[in-house]
Amino acid sequence: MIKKFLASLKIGLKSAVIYRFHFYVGLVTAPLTLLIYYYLWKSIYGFSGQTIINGFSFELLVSYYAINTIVAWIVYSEVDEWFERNILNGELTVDLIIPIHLFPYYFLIHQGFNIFCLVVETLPFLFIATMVFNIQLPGVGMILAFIVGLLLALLLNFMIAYLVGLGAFWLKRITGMRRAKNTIVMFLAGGILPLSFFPIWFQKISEFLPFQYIRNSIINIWLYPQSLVELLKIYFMQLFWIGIFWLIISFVWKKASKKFSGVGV
Amino acid sequence: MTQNIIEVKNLKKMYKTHEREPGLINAAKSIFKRNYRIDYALRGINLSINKGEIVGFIGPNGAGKSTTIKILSGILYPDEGEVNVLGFVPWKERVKYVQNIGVVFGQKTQLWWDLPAIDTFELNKDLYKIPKEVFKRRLKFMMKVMNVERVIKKPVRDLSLGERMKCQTIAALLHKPKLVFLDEPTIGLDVVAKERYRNFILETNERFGTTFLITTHDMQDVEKLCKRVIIINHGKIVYDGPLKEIKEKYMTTKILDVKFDGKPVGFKCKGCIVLKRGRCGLKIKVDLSKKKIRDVIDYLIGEFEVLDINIQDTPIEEIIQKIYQEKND
Repeated sequence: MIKKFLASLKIGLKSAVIYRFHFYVGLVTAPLTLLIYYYLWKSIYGFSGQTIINGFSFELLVSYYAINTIVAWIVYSEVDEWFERNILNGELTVDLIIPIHLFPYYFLIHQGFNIFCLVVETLPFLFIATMVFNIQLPGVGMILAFIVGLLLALLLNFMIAYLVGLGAFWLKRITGMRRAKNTIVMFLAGGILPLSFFPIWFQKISEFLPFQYIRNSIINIWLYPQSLVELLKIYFMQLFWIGIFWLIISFVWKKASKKFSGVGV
Repeated sequence: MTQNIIEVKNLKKMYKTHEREPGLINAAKSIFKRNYRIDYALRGINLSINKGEIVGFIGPNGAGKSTTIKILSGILYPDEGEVNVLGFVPWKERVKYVQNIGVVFGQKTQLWWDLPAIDTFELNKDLYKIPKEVFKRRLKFMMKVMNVERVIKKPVRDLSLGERMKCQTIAALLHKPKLVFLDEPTIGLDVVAKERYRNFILETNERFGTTFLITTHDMQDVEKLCKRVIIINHGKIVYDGPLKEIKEKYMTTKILDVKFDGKPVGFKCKGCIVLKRGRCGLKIKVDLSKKKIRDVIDYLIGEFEVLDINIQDTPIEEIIQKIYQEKND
């Protein structure tokens, strides 16, 4: 089993190396995006005359966006697009004739990409961010807690994309649905603004939704020292939603695989 | 010693597709109301295949060959019927089942498109849990027979169709499957490569007792490889028996495509029917029961200025037609 999983990871890594240029471009654009946020908020803070907005100092907010970029890269998943493409052109058939379940196969190929991305994109970006934008590193304990949260977030985000991808068994073309999902998740996860910028009632609801546990809560582990109870609460919610999505995916997969007609072979 | 490897009973599969008339207005209409049509791909198929057989599975386009193969390889769920392959119901326990089989789809590739074929081979080594030594030995043997040593390190997207097909077959056979489905495996191969490919299959069959089910449009494949042929048409099996019988009973005609220098005037020959008359060419159907193909060619060359002769087998459609005719008589 482990061998099969490692092999999937390896092939993902190998094909990521082929597309390395794609990752280098990301390394150029991400600091630029951060720079835009930097000047945007600098002018907002300057204009408002306040040093703290919604509990964020200017420096803390820039850190939020920097860590947001890192988290977004690591939890990134486009498995919904794979499903759409493979179902439209019938390539899914060849993924069904090999002796491994589709979920771990796709997940691990994806993590192969992500490992490469981590090395050539994420870590260099973190280095740039700490040097140029003066981003502070948390203590060792919080870094470990951050990594645990990140890994669970990664699985959770993959599952959301996987579920949307299964929609392609019925709808074939799901480009619109994918974009809607990306926007909604980005917004509700705190990818555009930290959730503490929103009304209290909104934040209360958000605590029971899966989305903030993909980004906002994880970024907070980096930014603020968390108590053990707070950490466990985040992990619990992540595991809870992973369990829920697991049930839904298993159920939908059973229906979906019966729906598949393997076009064009 | 005979042992059933595949057992299929009353297999049925239908597809629901929506269709619409051409044109913009009809496209707009289809937003609100869709017309569904139900196509029966398989209408009750029965077959059993023994261990060690090489069976040719032939029929015209859309007859249900690929659907059958896809059901047998665990990709599709049938609507009705019982299937037992190697003791498995293919679409249940898919992962355990596919460990035992190999599948080659001529139209799709199992190989990783942007990576060299060797990377897919190594992936399969781990997915199928092939011991390292066995893997090395087998790969070396297959590469030599298929003559692909030079191409396995090139990205698959840069390979020719034939090279890809050969690599694909290697990927599907590395784990020594007991049963192999080949869906139009010789597409894109040149004459020499086809010969090598067929020999490879025969050798694998002889050495390891591997069972093959092959769909193809190339009657040469069938003649070289298969002792037994199953013909399918409109989702039903119309013939299941030895190839010899088909050849003797139904492949009784050949098509001659002849090109002349100038217009052929006064072609007349017993047992021949002119199918098409071109400016400088004739398409002739020869009834082999009445006339030997040799005699026709002798006659043509003797009487006319022949530039080129192309001899073709009886088209599969015609064989099917004859089978139907015989059934009705």
